[in-house]
Amino acid sequence: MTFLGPSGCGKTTTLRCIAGLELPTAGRIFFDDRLMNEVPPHKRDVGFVFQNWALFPHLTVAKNVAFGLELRKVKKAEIKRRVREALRLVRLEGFEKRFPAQLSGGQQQRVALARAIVLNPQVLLLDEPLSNLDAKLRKEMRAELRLLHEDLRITTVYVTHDQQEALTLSDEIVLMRAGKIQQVGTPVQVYNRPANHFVAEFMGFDNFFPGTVKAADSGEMLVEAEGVELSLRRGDQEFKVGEEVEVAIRAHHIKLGAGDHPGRNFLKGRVEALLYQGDQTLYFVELDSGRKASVVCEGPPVKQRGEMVSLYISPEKATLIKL
Amino acid sequence: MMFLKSVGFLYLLPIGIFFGCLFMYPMIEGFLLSLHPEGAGGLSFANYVRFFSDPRMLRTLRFTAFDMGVVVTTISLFITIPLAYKLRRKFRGVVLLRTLVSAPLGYSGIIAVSIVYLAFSGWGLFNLFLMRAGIIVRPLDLVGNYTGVVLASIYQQVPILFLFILAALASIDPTLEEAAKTLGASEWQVFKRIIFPLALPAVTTAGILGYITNYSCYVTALIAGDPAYRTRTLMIEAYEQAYRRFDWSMATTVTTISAAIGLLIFFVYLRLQQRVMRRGSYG
Repeated sequence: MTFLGPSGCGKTTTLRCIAGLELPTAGRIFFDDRLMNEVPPHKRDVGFVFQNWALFPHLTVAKNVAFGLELRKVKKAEIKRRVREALRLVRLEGFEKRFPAQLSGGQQQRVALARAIVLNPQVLLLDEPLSNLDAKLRKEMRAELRLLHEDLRITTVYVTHDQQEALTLSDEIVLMRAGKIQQVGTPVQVYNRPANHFVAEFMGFDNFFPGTVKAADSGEMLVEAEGVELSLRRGDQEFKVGEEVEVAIRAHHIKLGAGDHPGRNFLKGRVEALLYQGDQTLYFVELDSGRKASVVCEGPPVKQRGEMVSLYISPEKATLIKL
Repeated sequence: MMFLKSVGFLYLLPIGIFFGCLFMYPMIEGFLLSLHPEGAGGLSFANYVRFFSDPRMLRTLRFTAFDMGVVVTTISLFITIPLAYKLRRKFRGVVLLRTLVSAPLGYSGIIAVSIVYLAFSGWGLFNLFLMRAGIIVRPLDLVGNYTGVVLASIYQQVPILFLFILAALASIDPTLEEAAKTLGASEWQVFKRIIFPLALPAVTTAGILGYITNYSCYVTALIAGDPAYRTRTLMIEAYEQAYRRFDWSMATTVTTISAAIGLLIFFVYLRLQQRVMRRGSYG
């Protein structure tokens, strides 16, 4: 499960409450059916990977990983075996004698992970563990974390502000804003059917057209927006006829057509500016209503500045949002 | 280039002269003087022989180096480390508490010692309180003796150690503690395995500084103690040799021995520190 949201939305605080590093002002925390509110952090059996990894600088890699085992009075030989096993899992064999300062960021991150999973905790908590890595390494580690999670099957709560990370790593995403949960759902649900404007914007929807529901059938919705009727696929949410809504769609899901194309699901406008971006072109279109829309098309520019165009809002790609 | 390099060294010349005149020269002069005992002609180690064969002198040396140095510094560290540990984080009133602990730094040694003297003397508040409470019948002899010097020295030493150790503890990343906790460490285990090892270099430095200050103790031993006998320090001995007996040669012998021990301690400490720095390249 992933807590996703902009900085300051309370995702890290929630994670710290689960670990017992902070006390919730209200509410209860359960591990299975055991109430944890009163349990101090060192008795919670959680693994926590911190944003800055928090490796002990005076201990070697092996000693860092063995830390929790030593506290649990595990036998020497057993410690050695489990440390070796954990370091193998994070692909850090041979680094036992190094100090944290002698490792790269990615390696330190793996040590932090090994230190947490070696205890085989009930819950594994990861607080933006990849945010201090460079983009390339982050991508690699993302894939590795996913595989590791599938190997170990430890209940994992992951905190991030990176939607890509959340989509790749989660079975379930909790989207948060200013301490409030905005939506809970699978990555597919959150990505395609955002519950509100905030979630939609956070998940990368670029275009929002306000409109009114005209008809709501079992499979199809009819919405009037920008003076045009849009036929849309129905989502999980219930809408009433006459309800004020927003139609949201990503820039690359809009299809650009000739300017005089008539009929349903076509918005009309004029190309205001365009940016060639290599394998795609970004158009800024001013609609007849004066509203701006952005459209991304594959390939080099096919329209020119000032040209009249029509925007096809595909029923499958657009989604309806309550106001 | 060679020219530029030598010009660079010229900038060090003023401080070199200053250091040489004010530090090296008196030390060498003092050492030479100690080799010319009163009444003897020419170079002689007679003063050193006299020092090390006189039980009174040896007792003074032991009191200075061991009791004042080791005992007082150890007790002070035992008081200071928990204090600094508890006051290392921000909370309401922490500045006031920190100020109270470091207050004795704000006034001169004589005043600090006098405060301890008054507080723990036969008619001081401490004894009065114990007598009122019915715990003791007669006032305890806490000043004018060994105990008095130890108490007064601790009183003056704790603030110095406190500021040093507090700075070290405050600079330890708090997430290290949290990480240790989530791995199953109780507060004591966090302290023993994480905080103390990380603060150890600073604690050692503080201890050495504390040791050296105490080692050259004069006023405290004079006022709060029994300077003629039990709490005689090397500094008192040197002063008396120089200004009571006018035996400057013996006085410089005492200061030379004292300086030699001080330098030896510093040397060992710096060597140790270097080794620690070379071994663990962390931090």
